[in-house]
Order: sequence, then structure tokens, then C-alpha cells
Amino acid sequence: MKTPLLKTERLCKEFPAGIGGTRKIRAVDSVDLSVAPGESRGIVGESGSGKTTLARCCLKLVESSSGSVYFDGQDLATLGGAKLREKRREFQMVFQDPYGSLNPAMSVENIILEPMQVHRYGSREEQRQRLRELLDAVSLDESTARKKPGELSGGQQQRVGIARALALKPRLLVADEPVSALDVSVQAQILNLLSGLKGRHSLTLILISHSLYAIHYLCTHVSVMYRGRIVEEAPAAAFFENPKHPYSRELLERSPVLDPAGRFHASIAKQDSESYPAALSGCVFQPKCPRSFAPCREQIPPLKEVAPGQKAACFLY
Amino acid sequence: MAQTLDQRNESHPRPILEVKNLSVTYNPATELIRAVRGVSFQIQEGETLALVGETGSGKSTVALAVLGLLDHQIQSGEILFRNRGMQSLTERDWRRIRGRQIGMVFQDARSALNPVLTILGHMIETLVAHNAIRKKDARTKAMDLLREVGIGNGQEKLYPFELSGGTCQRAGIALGICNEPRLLIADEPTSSIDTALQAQILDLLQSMKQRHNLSLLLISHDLPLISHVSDRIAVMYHGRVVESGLKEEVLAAPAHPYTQALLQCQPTLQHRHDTNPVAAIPGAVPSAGQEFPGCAFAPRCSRSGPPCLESVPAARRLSANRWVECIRPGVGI
Repeated sequence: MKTPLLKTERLCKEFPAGIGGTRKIRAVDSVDLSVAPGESRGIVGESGSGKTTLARCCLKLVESSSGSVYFDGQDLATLGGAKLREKRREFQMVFQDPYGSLNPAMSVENIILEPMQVHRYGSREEQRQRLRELLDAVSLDESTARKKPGELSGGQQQRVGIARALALKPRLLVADEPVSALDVSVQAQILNLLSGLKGRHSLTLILISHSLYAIHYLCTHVSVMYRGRIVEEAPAAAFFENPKHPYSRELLERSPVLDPAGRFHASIAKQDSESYPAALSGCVFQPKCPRSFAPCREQIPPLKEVAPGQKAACFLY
Repeated sequence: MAQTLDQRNESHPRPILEVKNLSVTYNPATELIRAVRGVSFQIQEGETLALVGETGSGKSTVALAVLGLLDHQIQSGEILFRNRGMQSLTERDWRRIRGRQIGMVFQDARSALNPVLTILGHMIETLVAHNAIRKKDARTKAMDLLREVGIGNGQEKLYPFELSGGTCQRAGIALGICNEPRLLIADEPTSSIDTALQAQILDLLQSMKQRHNLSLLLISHDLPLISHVSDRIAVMYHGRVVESGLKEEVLAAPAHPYTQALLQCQPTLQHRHDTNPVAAIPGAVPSAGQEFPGCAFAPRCSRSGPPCLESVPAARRLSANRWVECIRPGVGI
């Protein structure tokens, strides 16, 4: 078995909450994630489920509260300062808000050149050469290079974000909701771009999305998050064929399908029990689960294999 | 005799809202922005019309115009609400219509709410402002309505920042309908919340619509969602309605190349990047300030030819209530 490119062990991240930070919110709760080289991993979950926090912890953009992150077998906690910075070349991120993640005062070329300058990538000439390659790779024409982000459309801004992330030839690219802020007619362009880049640059991709369609479109593996925990993990084909966890099933059932004769059924829209109990002793999904039974309230179900390659954290299996 | 009259009324429902050839131009110091370029549509009583479009298509501007929140920006056109022209209304008249006869649900629920008022406080304020009602009665009514949208157990006493996006949107809907409007305008009511909650919010809008006998103008870019809740669809692109008709017809047999492309470029569970990629629409959505001599979609259109670039295509009638603005309409995908 190949060494996973990214691996986390019992990763937790807590944020202070309440007046004076007296309470703690566990955004990421004991996550074991393992992403093999070349894989495209989709992480799906509703807002607030901890997808983004998990990604930020993995890339050391925030410090995790406990647990470890290994990149290509190396514990990132043991790296500091210059060593960590060097490692950062190998994992890069594309952010959700294309405009908000670009410096409005910098030109497109400077935005893309900046990571190369910071990391002393080649000579000046090589950097310019790489810039041209990158603009070409994300289908931006040379005239865009001198423009400022504000002069670009949302799709173009996201292309700049992707070019910047690819500048240092990373091995792992984490794309956090890369299309959700874009117009519908432009989303497919960016998904197809990511697919093409992945093939050409032998990238490992982590795609964070609340859209199962985007994940189905691009990913080879799926992890489902719910309230900070991974509740199901499976190869994409198996997951979409036969999701195991009751939450995964609900997600799939609730994903809106375009249907010219569609009539809305109240059954797909169950009431949401908004106020969670502060601390749950059992399964995180238990309060909403249609199939919960006694053990679900008492113990946290471990993530275990329930079918070949498919893992679910549920006592039904 | 009375019966035949009733029947006639039923087969020819009266439009509650009629927009005729509306044009809106924003005029900032630097350039002239023609946000809406001659838009016409009707909403019948009890009907849901979905206005579909992407950024800069002018759909929200239409909503603002209907609510009387634009004034000198309206260049031409007419808006009739229950057969009454709205242009001549004074600000005093408007106050009796806006928020009372026409309700509004905003896109970003949390920022549409006042951060220093509780949800209940909002409801009471809105009820008292529009009705001769005692605060105590307003409170009872507010509590009932909030319960109807699924806010209870003390949540009504919380402030917007203490609530999730979904709950804020529920509160927004309760506020939109609390004065029993005849028409509710919902501008992207689900785009700031995630998929699982979207279904709930739409379900809520549907049941409120039935229970309170509302007509609904739903503004959205999300075709899968629209396919479940609308009766008719008007597709907007660059300030114009490029196609309109019954939902079933528009979605099953789109005639305008833009509608067709929009339907084709959304990944479903049948699509995968390697085996069955979606056909992306090339190019970018034009900004409202851009001007085209011909059809605005022509530069991105796979069927466009020289005539498309020369003049704006006129609206063509395909069937009784089916219109398309394209010189080469093709039915089907």
C-alpha cells in the first residue's frame, strides 16, 4: 500500500464560544482522514459541519487542538518556521470567495508571481515563463495579466486563484467550494478546468463542497462530514450507488433534481431540529436519525468497514 | 348565469401583477447601466412565477421596481398591481402597499434583519406599523406565525446573530407574510443556505403560499429548485426576458439557446468529468453595463450567425403563453 499523501489521526479543532470563551465548540472531532496520491477526495457536508476547518487544519492554516497531520508520511507538527514554509510549496488551497481571496491592489501577474517570489522559484525569467504557462493552463489570455481582480468576472477571478495555487507545482490541491460563488453557466467551466489540470499535473485533489453533483463529477472518493465527524467514507461509485449512513442517504435524497414535471413533496423537507443539545453522548446524527435506536444515544459509533472499501460510523451495520 | 361567470373567471384568472415593457437605467457618474431592457410579464392570482437569471441579468432590479423602491431610474414601462398603475402612487400610498399587500423575502436573511431586535421584536414592529393592532395582540399573532414557520421554544426571543442562516430565513419568510400580502416577492430565498435546508425553506414557501393564498414572484438562478416550485418561468439574460412559458414547457423543451445551455451545463448524477462531461457555456456572463448591437447571448451561443450580431431579436410567440427572443429558436435540448 502506498503511503498516503495526506493523513490525519484523531484530529480535533475547538473554538472558544459563548461569553468570554467559556464554552467550546468542537468544529472538527477526532477525524481520521487518509488521502492516497492521485486520489480526488470529495468532502461533503452541510455548512457548519467542519469541512473548511478540517481543510485548514490539514494545511496548517490554523493550529489543530489535538491530533496529528502527516503529509507524505511526515508529521507536520514537527516542522516549524522555514521547514514548514518549504513544505507549503507542496500543498496549496483554492478559496471559496474568488474576489475576497485576491489582493485587490495587485495585478493578476503579481498575484500569480508572488508565491514564486516568496519561495524563490527559479530565476526571474523562469518565473515569467511559469506565469505564461499558468495563464495558459487556466485559459486566461495574456491581456488579463495586467488587470486588477476587480476588473475580472467571477470565473476569471477563480481561474487566477487556481493559477496562483498551482504556481509552485504542488502535489496536493485543496479546493474549498471553488464554484459555489460562481454563476451557474460558469461553474461547469471551472469544474472541467480542475478535471483537466488534475489529469495533466498528476495532482491529488481534495474538493470541499456541499454539492453532491460537483463531487460526483470530479471525485474518486467521498467523505461525508456531519457536525465535525466523518460519518461515511467510500469510493465514489459505491457511495453514490449505495450510501450506507442514514445521513448520507438523506443528503442524496434531498439533493434537488431538475424535473420539468416536478411537484414539491413535503416529505423531502423534514422539520429541522435546530437546537442541538450542547453535548451529545452518542452518535452526532442520532437526534435527527429516522433509524436511531438505544445504543445510538449511549455510544459514539466508530467508523468501520461495512462493505468492501466503504466505511460508515453507524450501529446499523 | 352566475355559475358561467365564475367559470369564466376561473379559466381567465386575473393577473395580480402585470409588468409591461419595463426599462430601468442606473446612472452612476461614470457610465450608464441599462439593468432592465424592456421586460414584460404577468403573474396570475395564486401563481408562482420564477424569474431565472444569473448575475447582472436584472432580476433583482425588477423586484425593486415592483416594490416601488426605484423611482427616477425607471425609464419607461408600466407596472400594474391588481389593475392599478403604480407610477402615480405617492410615498404614502406606497406605505400601504409595500410590506402589506406586497411582501418581500430577501436573499441574505441575516443582514436583512435588524441586529438589535429579537425575531419576535421584528414581527411585532412590522405588525404594529401596518395594522391598527395592540401590541399585546400583535405579540400573540407574531407567536402564532413564527410557530407556523417552525420557530418556537424560545428561539423567537433570540437575536439574528444567535440563529442559524436557515432560522433567519424562516424568520424572514414569517416577516414577509405577516401582513397577509397578496403577492410575495422572494429574491434568492435559498441561495445563502445549504442544500438540506433549501428544501425546507421552499417547502415552507409552498405551504405558506397555499395557506395564505399568495401569488409568488420567485427570483433565483437555481433551476433544479425552480423546477419543483414554480408554475411559470421567465428566463432573463442581460436585462431581457429571453424565454418564458409554463414550467413544464420551458424545462422539457427549452427554445432559447441560453435556456438550453443553462440546463445542459449543470452536472447531475449522470455526469462525470471523464465519462460524461457537461458542456460548459464558453465565455462569461456579461455585466449589465455592457452593450451589444445584437443579441447579448450571441457571443456565447453555439447557434449564432451574422444576423444575431446585428439587431436585438424581437419576441416571438411560440404558443399561447410561450415567448422566445431568438431568431433561431430550437425546441428541445
